[in-house]
Amino acid sequence: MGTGLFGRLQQELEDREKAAGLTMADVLTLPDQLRRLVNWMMRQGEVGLTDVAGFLGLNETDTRSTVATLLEKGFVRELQIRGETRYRIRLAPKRGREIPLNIWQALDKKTD
Amino acid sequence: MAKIVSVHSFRGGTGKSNLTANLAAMIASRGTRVGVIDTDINSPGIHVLFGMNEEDMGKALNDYLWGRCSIEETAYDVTARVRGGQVEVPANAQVYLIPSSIKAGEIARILREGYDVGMLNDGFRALIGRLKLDYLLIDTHPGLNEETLLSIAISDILLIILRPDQQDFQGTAVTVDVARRLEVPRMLLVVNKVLSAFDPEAVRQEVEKNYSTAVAGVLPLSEDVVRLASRDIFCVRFPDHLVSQRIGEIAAQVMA
Repeated sequence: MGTGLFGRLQQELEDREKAAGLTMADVLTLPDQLRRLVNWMMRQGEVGLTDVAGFLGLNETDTRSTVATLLEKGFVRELQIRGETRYRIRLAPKRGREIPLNIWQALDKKTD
Repeated sequence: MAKIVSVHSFRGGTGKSNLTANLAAMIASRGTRVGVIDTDINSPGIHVLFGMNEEDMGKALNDYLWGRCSIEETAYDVTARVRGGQVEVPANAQVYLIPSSIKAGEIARILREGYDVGMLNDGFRALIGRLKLDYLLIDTHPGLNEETLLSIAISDILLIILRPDQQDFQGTAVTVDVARRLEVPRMLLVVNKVLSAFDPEAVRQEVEKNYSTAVAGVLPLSEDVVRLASRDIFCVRFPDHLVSQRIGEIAAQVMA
């Protein structure tokens, strides 16, 4: 693996476990380079490969490789919008709270 | 380009929803289109300031998060509330409120089942585009949770409100640290409920020094605000009051 930004990003990604999306708490604990990329993508909404290359200052090959690893780790979703491939941060669903069922039933009854 | 402004406090009871509603009115009164979204799903409340109650509320943010409707179907035009007072509001001004459900069963359901956080992010963007908003103000849940962190992460401006209280001071330090990690482009502090015995300028300087962050306003503890008891938007009802003037100054900084 190369050095420089691409090498650091790839290493940071390799060190992460595969996930079904990122929680915001995950984002806070990401290493610096990766967190910057994720923060930026979240603000943009959807980005193309050229946008990512521009943000990271990487060539197309390295950018493709980085995006492929993001996809493989489950951090990013690929979308086809008007014939163009776009990428978006994949946020993990917020899990419900495990509280005894009778509490929820009591609240449900209140509104019946 | 629309601006997303999150209004947050680490602890409850700081006056976050009141400040959000008042800022929305002040920003709209300068001829802009403003959306206000209540992401405090656990304990919603800002709808009260816009004169809504449970009976007025058809669809809410919860319905969108459950996939029952589009986000704009949960938006209520509350411009009349802003026009109803003493403030002159230009014809092109518009205020929309996206409330969270106040029904106990629906709050319970979202706590029990969770929801797709990605939809919330999509919803913010869809609202800006479909309602042609100039500003989206996000009223957050106090403390740090998934939706609050998301709101902070995607904000152009983060307003953190605190009282002159040791617990608030510590909690604000946590929020400021988190906002820096999430690289929020602009962060402003608002000190609320400051006793009249304190010099507002001294409070401003002290807070700015402690957090290395600009203070957008120091608001006095006001019996008049307490007396209104969220029945209306204070700046709309009392535009010449000192509190309204200070909120106007905060609005100007948000719009700068």
